[in-house]
Amino acid sequence: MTEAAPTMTLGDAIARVHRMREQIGRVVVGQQAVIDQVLIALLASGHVLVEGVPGLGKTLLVKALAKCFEGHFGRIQFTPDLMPSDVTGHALYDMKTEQFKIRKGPAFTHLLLADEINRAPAKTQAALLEVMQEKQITIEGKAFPALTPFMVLATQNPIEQEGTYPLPEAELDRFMLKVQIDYPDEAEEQALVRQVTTGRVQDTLSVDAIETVVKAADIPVLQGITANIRVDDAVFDYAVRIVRTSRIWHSFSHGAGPRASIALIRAARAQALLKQRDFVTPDDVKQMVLPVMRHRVALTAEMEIEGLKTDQALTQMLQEVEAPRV
Amino acid sequence: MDLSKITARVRPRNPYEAADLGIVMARQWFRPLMLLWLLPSLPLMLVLYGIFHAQPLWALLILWWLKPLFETLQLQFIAEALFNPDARWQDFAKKIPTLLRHQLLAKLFVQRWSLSRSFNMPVGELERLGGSQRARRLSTLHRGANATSIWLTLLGTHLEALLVSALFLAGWMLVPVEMSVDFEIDDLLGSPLLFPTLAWGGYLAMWIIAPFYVCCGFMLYINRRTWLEAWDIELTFRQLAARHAAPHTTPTRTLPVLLLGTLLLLPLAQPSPAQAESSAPARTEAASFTPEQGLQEISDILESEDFNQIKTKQALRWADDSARRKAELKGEDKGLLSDLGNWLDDFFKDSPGFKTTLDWLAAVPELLEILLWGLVIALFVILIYRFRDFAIPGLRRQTKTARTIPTHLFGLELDQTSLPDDLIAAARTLWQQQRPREALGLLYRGALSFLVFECNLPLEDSHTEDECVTLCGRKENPARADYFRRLTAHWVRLAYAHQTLGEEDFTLLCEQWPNFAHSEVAA
Repeated sequence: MTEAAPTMTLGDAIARVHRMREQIGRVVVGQQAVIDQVLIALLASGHVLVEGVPGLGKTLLVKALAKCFEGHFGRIQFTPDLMPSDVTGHALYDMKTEQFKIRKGPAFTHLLLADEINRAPAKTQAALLEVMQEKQITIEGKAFPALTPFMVLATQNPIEQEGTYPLPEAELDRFMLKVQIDYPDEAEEQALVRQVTTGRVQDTLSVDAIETVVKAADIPVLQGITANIRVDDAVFDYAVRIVRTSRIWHSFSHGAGPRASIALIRAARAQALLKQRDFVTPDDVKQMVLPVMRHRVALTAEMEIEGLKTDQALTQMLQEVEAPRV
Repeated sequence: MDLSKITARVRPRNPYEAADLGIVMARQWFRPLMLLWLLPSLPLMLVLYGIFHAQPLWALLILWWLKPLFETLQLQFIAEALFNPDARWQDFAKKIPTLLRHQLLAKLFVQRWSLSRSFNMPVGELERLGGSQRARRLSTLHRGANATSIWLTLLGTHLEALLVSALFLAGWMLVPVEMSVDFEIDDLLGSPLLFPTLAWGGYLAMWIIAPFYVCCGFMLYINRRTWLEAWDIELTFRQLAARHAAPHTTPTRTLPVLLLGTLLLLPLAQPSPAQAESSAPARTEAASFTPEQGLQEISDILESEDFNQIKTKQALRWADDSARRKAELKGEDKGLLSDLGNWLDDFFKDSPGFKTTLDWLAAVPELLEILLWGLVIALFVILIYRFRDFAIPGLRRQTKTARTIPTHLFGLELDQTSLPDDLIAAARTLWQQQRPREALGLLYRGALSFLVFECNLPLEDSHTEDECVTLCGRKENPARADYFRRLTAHWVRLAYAHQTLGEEDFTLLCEQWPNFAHSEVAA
């Protein structure tokens, strides 16, 4: 693992990302946009909030991602009685050695799937969010660094809001992207059914077919390369203008903060890498606006009554923001 | 028409009650009535729809215009059903061609536009009156029931409109809540399905409303005649007579009834209703009666004492000002106030300005009237101006697209006047001056300007480079789209990555420019 290639060239990085994308796409059928956005979050070292009905292959996606860079994968099902220590870990008194032993929780992993994060109370959510923000885990006052790379994929169910603890805006802001996962289209679903049922006994797709294409230690290097992708001043200006417009846009009761601008540029850089480019264009920014901003703005009451969706409002707003002037 | 066979209870009703009875009748014979309308109209509608399938509203309009023909059949049927319950379908079917031909032109051109059509129809169709006779008869009948029949027509029209809207609403309500259907009203108005739906919806609505409309109008007519001709009394007498004509099983009881009947009959049977069609075949003395004699008799009766009783009524009312004024002039009322009034009157009459003021004041109402009319006209002008772009269904306009063409895109001046005449030469010069950014910028600007102004590509300020390429690829021919894609790729690399393109790439772009900016290809 230590034999990471710090001298990885841009061409190498592009090739590797492309192969990762390809490998995941072999298993996760019909969710190319979701795969791309999750990869973008990984490259930009952000976290993802996934919203979608159950059974669309979220676990499979995380497993596949973990497999393709030989990473560890953990999963926590959030329930109302979940305690913070169930996430982070706890100290255990060992009778034999008469000492406290630290038992590390599921957060000590590369990819953490936090299923239905809004079902756990705020205390437990906060424990996870601390790990996300600080990249360290505190057990009994002792801080342990989280593994690198560390990425959380939290899922939310858009229906069944009864008895949930919705994440407050400040905590939503920690997620770089909010990905909306939807049903695959007809052709893709046929391919999926064919793939799952042919020659298999179980109902789930296996990730055995995925080849490991990068090592876990390569991911920080890739992240470093992503952070150095060229961004022209005009593009910076465009991203900031979009975020600032959201603050005065009539459909929103509150717009996105500066974290949104930061996330927008980071995501656009990763998107450029995914598109096999070494510079960011305004298109990269524009394409990332929906996933970056949809959980950071709130519609006004009137717009909600009118039945406007956040994505529609954002799209309308984008139509009013002038593209960069070079 | 045999009054004694009538299947409804005859009594004088108020018009609304009569219309109500019409509804009951329509419900009673709903199926045959619906069928009678559908059988002739549906083939016609199908043919018309076939002819005007591009403009289906014309089919609906023509069918609407022909409505009296279908309603004639319904009216005949309902009249038969009311007065002759034993009538057979076969007999009725034989009469249909004659019924349709009767007063065909009058029905379609003159009588079609009357608001009380359903009420007037029986006069032409059942009494078979035409021309001035019909007009006179209608003027008699209209006294008392015309308003209701007009309301009936208005109500029917509105119900039809309501049914058509209900059709749309029903479609809308059947969309599941989970499906978010967002549509613009413009999309709906521009939908190719709108006019066919409207046409068939309108047909359906006319079909459903027609039986009620015809029956209500007919019952209004019957009711009016019941009032005019005292049908209820006549029926009672006929029943008495029938019982009298029956074998005398109980003579002791029949005799007093007969006597009473005769007593009642004497004053009432004499005045025959004005201009009413003599419907009872039993009334033999009416046959020897000329209309002139009838009119003479009517005027005699009207001049008789019964119609000329004078009653004195007392009530409070405002005093007549002119009478008071006259009294004042005569000096009968000499109060202090009156003196003051007279003095003021005299004073103003003598002053020279008063006369002109008075004239001026008299002109005020006229002025106001002119002003109001002016306002109305101005309102119309404003309304017409305001809705000048309103699309009238069925009318094609040569609309000029009101799309605002951007003059700037990505900070580039797109106005064609800002571009040099020989774009390529200018770009080459810039390139030779080691100013690749300006050179490629000029080419890109020229391409955008060409797409916006020559190809009418709907580019907006918010479109990014890739979106322009996508849009161009969707609307333009592949060769042009490919050139624009390559040009954009070079431009994006130069603008955002600061990577200059090679000499040969630039030369190639310049050489292929004429193929791109070629107006004939654009067309």
